[in-house]
Amino acid sequence: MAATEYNTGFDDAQSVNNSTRDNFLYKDISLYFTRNPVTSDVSTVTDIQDIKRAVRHIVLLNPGEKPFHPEIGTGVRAALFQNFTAPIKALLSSRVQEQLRKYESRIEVTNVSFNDNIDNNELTCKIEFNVRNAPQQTEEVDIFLQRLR
Amino acid sequence: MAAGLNVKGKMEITELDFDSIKSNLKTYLKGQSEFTDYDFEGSGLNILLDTLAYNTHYNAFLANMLANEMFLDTAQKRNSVASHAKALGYTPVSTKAPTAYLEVQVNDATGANIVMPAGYAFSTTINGVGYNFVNTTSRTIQPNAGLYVFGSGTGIPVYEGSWTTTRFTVDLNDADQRFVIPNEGVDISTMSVTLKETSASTTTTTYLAATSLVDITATTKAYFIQETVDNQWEVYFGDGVIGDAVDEGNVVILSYVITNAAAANGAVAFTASGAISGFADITTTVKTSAAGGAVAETMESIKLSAPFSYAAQNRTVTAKDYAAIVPTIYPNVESISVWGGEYNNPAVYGKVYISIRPKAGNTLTEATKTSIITTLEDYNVVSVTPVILDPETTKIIPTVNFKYNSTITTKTSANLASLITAAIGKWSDDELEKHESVFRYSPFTTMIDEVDPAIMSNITTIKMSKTFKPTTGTATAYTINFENNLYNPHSGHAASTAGITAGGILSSSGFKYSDDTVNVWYYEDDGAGLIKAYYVSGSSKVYKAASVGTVTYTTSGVLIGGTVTLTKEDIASVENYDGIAQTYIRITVQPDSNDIVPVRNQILEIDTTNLSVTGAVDTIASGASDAGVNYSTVSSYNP
Repeated sequence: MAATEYNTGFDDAQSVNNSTRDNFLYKDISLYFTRNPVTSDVSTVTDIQDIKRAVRHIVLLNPGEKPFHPEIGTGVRAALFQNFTAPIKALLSSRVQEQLRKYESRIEVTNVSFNDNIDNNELTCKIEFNVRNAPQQTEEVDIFLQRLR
Repeated sequence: MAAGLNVKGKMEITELDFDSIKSNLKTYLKGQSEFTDYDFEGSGLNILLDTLAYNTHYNAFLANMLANEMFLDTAQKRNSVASHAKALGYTPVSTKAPTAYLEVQVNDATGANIVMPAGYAFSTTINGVGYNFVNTTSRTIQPNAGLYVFGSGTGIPVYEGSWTTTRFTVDLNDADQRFVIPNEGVDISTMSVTLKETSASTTTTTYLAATSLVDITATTKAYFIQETVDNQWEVYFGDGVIGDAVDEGNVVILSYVITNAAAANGAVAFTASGAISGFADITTTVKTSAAGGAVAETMESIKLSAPFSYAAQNRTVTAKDYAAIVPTIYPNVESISVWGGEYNNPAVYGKVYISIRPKAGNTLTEATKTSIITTLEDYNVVSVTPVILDPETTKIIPTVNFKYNSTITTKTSANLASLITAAIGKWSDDELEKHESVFRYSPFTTMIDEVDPAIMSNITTIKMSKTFKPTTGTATAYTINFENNLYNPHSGHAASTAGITAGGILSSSGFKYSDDTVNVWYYEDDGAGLIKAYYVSGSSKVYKAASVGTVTYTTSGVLIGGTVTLTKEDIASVENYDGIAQTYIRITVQPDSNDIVPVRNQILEIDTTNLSVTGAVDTIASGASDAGVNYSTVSSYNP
């Protein structure tokens, strides 16, 4: 996993990692809708994990999926069955960067890379970014796009 | 105050569109600290807000549509409007096929009789496009004095379009069976509905359209018709109590014309399409050219007419009732004016006058007038006779003098004048040329000022003219009603006899008398109510010894202002004017008011042929060196 290559915090959008740099705590509902074992309330995600989830949501959104806002979404999922060529990679990469710059103001994207694993019918999208509240720390979101069947 | 909250700090719930609803939800979430990320597009909460706002928007739209479509005034869908009209007992007017009346002679026919079947077609061409006109009933004739003629005299009606038949077999087990005509553009007035007992039957029974429930019994062979969804028409039958019911296995046969609406209006030459009873030498004579084709009634028209029709209750009692019902009988109405005989000039009791300006052409044919009056007999009060009058056109002749600022435009005076002329022509089309369309002077002059930013002001004077057709060679009296007071500030006004300019406020085109076919004569008034005739000899006028008529300037007692009466004029011929041959004499007068009101069947129109538009540079606005000293103006009064 790429985590070893950087001085990163946590690289998994599903793990909890609260930054201690800011008094303000980002807090969002978890769309897995799991139960908080203590309060029995719906579980929440916070701070860095919260931001990673948001990044993940934006990247996985196809244009047209958000009601009345076709301009939001990267179209990465819609790239399924496209020929996997360098221009497509470049297009998706720039689209991801553009969307995150527009709609996720809490982060600064440093790199977006796509790695294909053709033998496994798999595409890996790695997004590296700094959280503006903790700029010295590079975060990373890995998204696997895989045929389900 | 936070966005999305009203003055009382409550959530705003009147918004209907998605973004406003979502914004309100976000505003609401600002009041809590449990979740903070609702404002970021990628957050989970934002995605939930999308779902909530979408759902709210969806329901709001549905509720709004439902509420709108529930009322005739606000309904946007034709299906809803037609349904509301149905509740008011109003059937929208279907597409109407152009109708022509033809006399058809079969020259080589022999035998006891010949038959022209329903659907027999005549072809014609308009603007290079071919159209078919069809006969809609089977007609059988016997020879009369050896001639085989269909429609001898007035002609037989033929309708533009294709003759189409649709059959349904009644299936009472099918609760959803409906007899819907699967075509748009159907002229339902041409429809014939017949019924066969079974598909093997050789005889048919004809059903007639029911227009009301009066006289319909359990056995009446009547059908009902209504507009259903998607501009289609549905035929339905009685239930055995009101109107005869159809039985299992009956075959319903609907025959009708599908038309191209107004496209073939005006067709004047027809050719028979094939042999009649085997005889092919056919001569077709047009008795009435094609007219009356019109598209189906628009939604706006239904919204307007349905309540009127409901108020009229299928009876013509008041003038407004006629105005509501005539367009349903004859949809080709551009504008209509109706007045009771008591308001006529002179009053004629027991009559109601209807003036119709058709969409195509200026007047109705006599056949159409007769047809409308015959149909009106079903509605109008016994003892009241409807009379259809052609509209009378009064032309308004403006003389426009405008000033323009030459420093802010590259257009010349002539360019601006032609722009003004075009704008006046359009204004006449848009604002006048209908019944009860008043010529309002101040909007007219304002419109001229607004034609171009360079136009600084205008001085416009108005005259009006009417024409009358003299009966040549016979001494005849003529009355021309302008229906508007004429300018006469004092007795003897402008009674000029100097020069050859017509005196008074009345002038005319030229004509010749039967007893003097050498000189060209004209009319003028003496400013005191008398009309004089003169001809020009050299540079002076030579008058007829006695006055030839009277003019009433202002309404006073029984005298109606604006009435010109000529007593016993024996006119031999009419001089040409406007550069074309004429059969009418034109009388031009100066109105008392610059606002001119059309009365009864009068229609106002601007005379763009005699319109005068003259421009001059506005020296003050253009900054001429002598502007403040030598600025010139034009008289605001008619010369």
